[in-house]
Amino acid sequence: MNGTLAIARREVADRRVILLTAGVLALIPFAVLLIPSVKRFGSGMVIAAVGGFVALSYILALTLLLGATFIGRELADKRLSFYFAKPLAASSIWFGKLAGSLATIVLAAATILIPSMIAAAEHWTPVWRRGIGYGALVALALFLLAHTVGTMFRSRSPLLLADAACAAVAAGVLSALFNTLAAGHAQLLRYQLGGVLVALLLLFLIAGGAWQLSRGRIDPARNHRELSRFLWSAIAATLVLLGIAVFGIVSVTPADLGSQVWAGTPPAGNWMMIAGPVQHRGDYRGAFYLNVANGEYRRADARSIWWEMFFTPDGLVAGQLRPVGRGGKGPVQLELVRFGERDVDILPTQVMFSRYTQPVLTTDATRVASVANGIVRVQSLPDGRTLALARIPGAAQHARLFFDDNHRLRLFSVAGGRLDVFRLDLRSRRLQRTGTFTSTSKVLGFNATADGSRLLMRAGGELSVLDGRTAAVLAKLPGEGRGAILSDGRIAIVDAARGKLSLYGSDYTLQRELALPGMRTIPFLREVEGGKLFVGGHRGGAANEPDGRGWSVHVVDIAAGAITATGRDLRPMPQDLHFGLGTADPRRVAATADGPFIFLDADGSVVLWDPASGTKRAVTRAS
Amino acid sequence: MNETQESAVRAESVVVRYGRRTAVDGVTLEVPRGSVCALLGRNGAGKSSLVRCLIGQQKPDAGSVALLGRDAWRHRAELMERIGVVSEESDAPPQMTVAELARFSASVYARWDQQAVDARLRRFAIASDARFGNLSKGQKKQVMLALALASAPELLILDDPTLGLDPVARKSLFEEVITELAERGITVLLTTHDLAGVETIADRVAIMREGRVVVDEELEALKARFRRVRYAQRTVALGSGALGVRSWGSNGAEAVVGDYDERMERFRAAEVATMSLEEIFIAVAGDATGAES
Repeated sequence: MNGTLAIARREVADRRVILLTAGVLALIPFAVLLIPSVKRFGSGMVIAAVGGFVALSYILALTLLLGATFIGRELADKRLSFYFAKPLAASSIWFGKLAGSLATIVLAAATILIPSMIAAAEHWTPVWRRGIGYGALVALALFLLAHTVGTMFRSRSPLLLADAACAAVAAGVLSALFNTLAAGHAQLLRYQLGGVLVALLLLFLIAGGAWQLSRGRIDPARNHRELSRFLWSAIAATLVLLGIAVFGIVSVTPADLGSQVWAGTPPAGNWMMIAGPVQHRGDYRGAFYLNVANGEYRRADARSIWWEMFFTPDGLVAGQLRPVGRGGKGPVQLELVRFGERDVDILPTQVMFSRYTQPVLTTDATRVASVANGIVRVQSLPDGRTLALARIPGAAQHARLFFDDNHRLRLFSVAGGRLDVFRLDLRSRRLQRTGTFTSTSKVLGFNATADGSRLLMRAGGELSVLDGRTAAVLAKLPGEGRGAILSDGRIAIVDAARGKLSLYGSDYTLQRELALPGMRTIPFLREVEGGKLFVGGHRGGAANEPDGRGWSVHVVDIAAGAITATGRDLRPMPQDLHFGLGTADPRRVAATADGPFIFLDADGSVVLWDPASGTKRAVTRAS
Repeated sequence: MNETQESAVRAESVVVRYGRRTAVDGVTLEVPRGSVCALLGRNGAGKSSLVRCLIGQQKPDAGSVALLGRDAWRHRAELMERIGVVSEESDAPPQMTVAELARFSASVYARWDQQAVDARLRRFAIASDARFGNLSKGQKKQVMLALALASAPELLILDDPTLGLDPVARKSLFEEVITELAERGITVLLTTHDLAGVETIADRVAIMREGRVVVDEELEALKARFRRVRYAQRTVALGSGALGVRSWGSNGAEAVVGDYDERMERFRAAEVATMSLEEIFIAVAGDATGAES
């Protein structure tokens, strides 16, 4: 310890000139005030800003210079033997010189900053003070990196090539591991791991210096060799451990998903997407394509929670949009997953992400249509060609798209109280308005049939059935409930206030009314294959609790007009509750005609419910 | 064998390589306690590499080195408490004054005789406020010697301490070492090219050639076995101990023999002359053809 302190003292004393220079630089913020035009910014602000700038510049230069020379120069000049010929441990030499150099930097920074902090105290806000803390960390990192790079370059050894290769490999592995976590949207986890890695790297750089002197002593080439050996071994071990940790984090199954589960359901078929936070793994989110019929699953990118995902009408292909690069400002990539095939297609697109409009795929997944910034675009996926591009007249707030076939696209555009129906012909590339619906209400909510031929419009407390091509009003239905057009042309309307379900025929006449016992809030109405209708609701009160308590689901036989099964404590998946806002419609079927069907159980876990037997099978465990 | 019975320096089969070049090639060397050993060799013979290994600043690629009975590489820091070193290059920080150097050194040694430092500096006429970088080469060596002796070392290792010094400085430096020897009987290992000077203090000599120790023995024994012999005729069988046979006079031959003490009778007909250490060194360490450098 005595040796360490003695060396540290010497290092500071030998660098008196640096501190004297800092003293002179400390006067600059005050000297700048002598310039008349500067005073208009306020003397306090000028002193603080100039003082901060001068200190930052000087400390940055000093950090790099001292870092590169505090050991390296004496090593190159063969003067380290002076210390090694004394009863000083190599670690004392390293830590003494390190402490002395860092103390010099701190003293120099303090010499410049303290006068301006005193003179302009009101401008040294907590934000600036925090900046000093971060700055100190950055300075330490730069200092140690300058030493490391300096040691490597001074040796002029071919080992430099190996260092470069190791650095590239380490960066690649790190990037791959962090991308793996990014795919699970684990932002906090990445920050935390990043912090730990930075701390470890600093530790390795500090310990590496002690190691290099201990094993390399006065020989520059050997110092380089030992430093490289230590650093890359430590980094490799860390990356292996990190790899194991990341593998442990990402090795989750659908059963590991906790509460707050998200699900994406196709119009048909057994495959669905299920995603959400994973227990005991920070903010990592697992994402899976899950076959609800047999429990088979494959991993997916959890970023689709935030970046839209969708299915072909037959539910056999899932499309997922991913941002390219940082910020997600440009066109997105489309990942196509064909269930039953192993490979995943990742295709570049010209699709721009839009929060309000979901892209759609043709049934054969060869074309994708999207709307962004008021422009509709259809792209051929195999070759990336743009097949059609058109500006939508009016300021569309959101739009719904339907492929009539591979050559015709239908577009419902909503702006305020107006709905426009357009048809885009891909052969002629013409966008043609085919109808308009207007309402005095500024908020329109509608559901469409699977083929988009009819719409059930809810506007200003009225329910209207519209023609999906001309937007002409075909019928007006009584009541203020919410509803859906069923596949056989009938219409189902739920009235939560009265706790009843009304079924209308395709001629819009009332056929049946059913009481919905125990439901005060009924946000869920879904037709499934086989002429069944699911009605989900809450008994009232805390309907927003993230579990199934107080919820129930009735299965209605449409033809018979009777409730055939009731599931207690079952809640529809949260994203399905936006019923009536145009984001949920009866096309989304989560399972086969006979079930089982996916719901949240009383404890928040995801379960598959079989209405025929009334049994529940857990898909996830509630946290 | 306990520590006090151990040799002061013991190197066994030391090998030092720089890439493909072997600088020290399996050197085994022993310096008994209390002796003054001169390690001689031409430039590039491997002396400095061996010394760096001896003082624990360089790890040999093979072999082992022990100082005062302890491994020099592993126990360097502890050993330096008992060993004084004057390096070939004066390596002290040039910006430090002599007084600062002394203060710094005093703070890292358990034993320190500042009065001895002051006395030596006075003898060398070196001002304590002079910056080390501003001193002459000879003064730097003198300062380093003063510092090396201040911790009362049991072993003093001097790597070419007289390199570049004028005769006066050389003489004062050796006198200082001789005084120390007389007062405390320390062990000294030194490398030098000043063969005349070292002959006055060394009692043991090791000569390195091309990375190997080719001579390692008492100085007196060495001088006893080496003779220059001259014959009037050239056709004389000199035996295997003869080095650098060459013509002498019109018909005669001259050679250096390294086994004179064993085969004295054989050289009765010859004119025999004793040799200085320098002459022996030239005969032993000169190149393969016997050419002198």
